[in-house]
Amino acid sequence: MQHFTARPLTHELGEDPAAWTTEPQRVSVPVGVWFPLAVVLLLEAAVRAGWIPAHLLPAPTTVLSTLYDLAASGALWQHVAASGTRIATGFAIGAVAGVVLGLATGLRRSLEAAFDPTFQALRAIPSLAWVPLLLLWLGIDEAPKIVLIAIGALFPVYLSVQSGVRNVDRKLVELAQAFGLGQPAIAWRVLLPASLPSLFTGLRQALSLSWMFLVAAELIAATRGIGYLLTDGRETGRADVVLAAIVVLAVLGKLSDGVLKFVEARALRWRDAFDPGAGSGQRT
Amino acid sequence: MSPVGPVIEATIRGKSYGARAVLENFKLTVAPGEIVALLGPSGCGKSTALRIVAGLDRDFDGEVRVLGQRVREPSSAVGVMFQEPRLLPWLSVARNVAFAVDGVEGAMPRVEALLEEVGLAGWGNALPRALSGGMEQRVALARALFREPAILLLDEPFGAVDALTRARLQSLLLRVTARHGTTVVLVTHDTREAVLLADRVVVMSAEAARRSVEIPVPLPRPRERLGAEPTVLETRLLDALGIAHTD
Repeated sequence: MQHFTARPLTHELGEDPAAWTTEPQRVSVPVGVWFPLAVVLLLEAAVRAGWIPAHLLPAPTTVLSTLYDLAASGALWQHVAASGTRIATGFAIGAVAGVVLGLATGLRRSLEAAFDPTFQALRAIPSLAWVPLLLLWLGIDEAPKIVLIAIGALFPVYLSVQSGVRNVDRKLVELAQAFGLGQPAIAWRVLLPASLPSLFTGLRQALSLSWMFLVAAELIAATRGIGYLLTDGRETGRADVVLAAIVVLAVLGKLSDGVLKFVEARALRWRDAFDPGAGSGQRT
Repeated sequence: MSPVGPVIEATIRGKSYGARAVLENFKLTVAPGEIVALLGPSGCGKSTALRIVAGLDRDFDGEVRVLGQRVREPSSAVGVMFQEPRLLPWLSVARNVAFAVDGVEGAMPRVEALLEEVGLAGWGNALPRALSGGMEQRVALARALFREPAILLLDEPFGAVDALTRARLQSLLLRVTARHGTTVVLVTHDTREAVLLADRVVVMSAEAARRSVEIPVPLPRPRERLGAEPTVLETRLLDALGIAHTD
């Protein structure tokens, strides 16, 4: 009889997880900060010394104080809320549609043959080409913006789910068949969970595209939102407002991706993939 | 033949992949509680025969009966184990064992008993990635036994583990199937494994047309891994495979 103690586990984990990583983790964060910090300090100095005209490139401290004023007046939060709502709605609609269509065409060759060429053709259209049509059809209200974002989010999710389903190990499907599972049960209990890693890749791509499409939509026709803030800053000659809006976009983009990344890490804890930063306690 | 009649009666007149015939006039009859090994080189159709008996392959000419019922689809009376563990990596060990039912809650006592039986008591909440290859195969065995199948079909189940683990898993298989009175059909290319486990060995040839040869293994159990008799039988098997003598 084999004896099962904790030995095989501790052995696999290794005594020192850091020995497995090529980059020391604790150092990498400060290292990444030095360069932008140096650029910001240099800019600040250059603008204050008068080497760079402040109306074209305001000093980082000016941008910060503009940002503070926008936040204090409440205007910033209105814009963030408007953009956030559009992103959330459009992304959700696009992602759900992408999952449904990707599953359908992934599971059935006949559906793929019938619809995939159309989707591929639509995907090839540059997103901004939709804008005039959406404005004509849906007016300049919320609807065209949400639809544009949904279009942007749809295709990466569609493609990732479809290829995810197609790349599921045939042997797992055979196992499910050996246990007498029917088609719907196999789709739900094997194909869907097995294609989750691919789905999350698609979702994160879709999210970053959603932000891009949001700005495109808001630049053209909006009275609220961060894209509007960009236009407003340009029209009033306020480079500091434009830069403040860009900073807000960067923060929101990173934040929303971080949320998705967190959900992904939770949902895919079972994965046994290479992770250079894996610490102990991850297993079991 | 036992008084209750055979549990497996397979008559495969023909099975081919495209133009290549893999099985021709293959017959297999297995009595209750019997352990039969299908032995042969790669490509002799032994795994195909097993998949047909399991109901996983219906595209053949012939008829398969399991417990008197004609096989049209995989049955809960048959447990299957493959060369790879094929555990679902996103399910805990317990949920993998109870894969036949959706949701482990009501099945927990049975799962725990099975894990105990295969020497993995307490591992129910672990994820497959925490297990070694041998442990994964134990889970696969527990999963195959979950529905208390009358028949266990094993497709080179120990082919991918090291020799020491293989020996342990072979003993485990014999112990567990003897306790449950399970009938076993085992596909292998290992003559030693066939002599050690089987009551009867069906030696299959790489040419589909050549008839398979049946060789009984009249050794008492528990069997010794070494000794004169196993060696003599192994030589007979190698002879039947046409590779007893090297030039």
